[in-house]
Amino acid sequence: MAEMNTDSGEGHKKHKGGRRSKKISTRIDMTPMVDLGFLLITFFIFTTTMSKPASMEVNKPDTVHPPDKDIQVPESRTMTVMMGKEDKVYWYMGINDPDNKKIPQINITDYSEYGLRKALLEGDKKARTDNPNPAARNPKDTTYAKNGLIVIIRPCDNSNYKNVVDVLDEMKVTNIKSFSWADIAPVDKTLLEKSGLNQ
Amino acid sequence: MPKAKVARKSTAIDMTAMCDVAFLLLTFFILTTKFKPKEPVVIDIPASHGKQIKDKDIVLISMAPDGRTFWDIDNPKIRRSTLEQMGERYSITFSTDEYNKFANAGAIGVPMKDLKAWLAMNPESRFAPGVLKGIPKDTTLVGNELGDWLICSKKAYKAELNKNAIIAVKGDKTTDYPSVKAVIKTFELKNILRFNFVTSLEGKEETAEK
Repeated sequence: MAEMNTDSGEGHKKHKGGRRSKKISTRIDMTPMVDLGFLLITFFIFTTTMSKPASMEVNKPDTVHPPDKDIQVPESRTMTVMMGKEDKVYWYMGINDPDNKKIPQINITDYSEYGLRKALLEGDKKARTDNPNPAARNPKDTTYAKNGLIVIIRPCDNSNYKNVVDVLDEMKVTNIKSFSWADIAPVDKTLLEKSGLNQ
Repeated sequence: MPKAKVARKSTAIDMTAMCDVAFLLLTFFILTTKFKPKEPVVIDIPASHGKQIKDKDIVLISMAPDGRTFWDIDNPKIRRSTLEQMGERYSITFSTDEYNKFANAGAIGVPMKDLKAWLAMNPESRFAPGVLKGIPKDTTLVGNELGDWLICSKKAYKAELNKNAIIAVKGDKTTDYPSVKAVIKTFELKNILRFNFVTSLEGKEETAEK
């Protein structure tokens, strides 16, 4: 306890006429100290920033040792998303094949909820209604995820890391399971240049 | 009938015990607080709707806004083991003192040939501008150092803890895509096809249906 034994050996002797030293209680009021203690605890708890990192798991296909046969994707369900500079997104449906005079219409959007997400959701909806396979419209079907929109993500060299994370996150939010991430193809680069869009 | 007399008690209570508790808690909080290790560069990570990650047992590859790449592992034992293998690969022998310095050095961002000199520096000048050049990750070269760091880290995890290393990438919002591409390409070359992007948790959970 906080009391200290102030009795020295002399205390037991009888004082005879001598001057008696005044006995002061050693009990001190601890309240301010408790206040200080809790104040410091509160301060430390509030100034500690809780870092809550999240993670996004990425699975990349093996491009160094690719599979023997190419996987054929129906072009009507394919959407190519290209990330350009200054947070612009360019996307088109179908495939870009200048040799066969198939030049798709490029759309420009942004990373907002009503930009890319809307385009993805609408594309997915359309891909499912157009798909002859009934599994595309049955969420309980095991192949449901595969039969929706197929997205090819192609970041341009002027895009940044945030753009990549944003687009991959949109895939998660819109629940699109079939997407692949590749570098920008020369045909797409030419298409953007021809459309007068600065990548 | 005599009136029941209520004994008058002092309202002052002994605060000593409470004081003890307060300071005990204070001491506990101060001692258990883990200080954030000094980061070579400030990295502003983007947000996503991902799930939370435990920041233990990961190999962290950080990308600075200017594209420099850093390697980091928390566990000193794994760090040591990784350096042993890196030393073997690059035929550099490190002294016990250098091993100990390396174990506590935090993120590494110098080429292998400069590592010895970097470890000999005092901790302040290690972070001086121009010193940290980043780990070379040029995919056109055969000796891609970032790839070697990854392979050695994986081996170290396997040997020391018998665990598969979790590879995490932490990039700045403004890191340009070619740098990201170089890192991802390195992963692919080393057959690391599953990795994580470290992001902050996006606040509100938005619904997909609109």
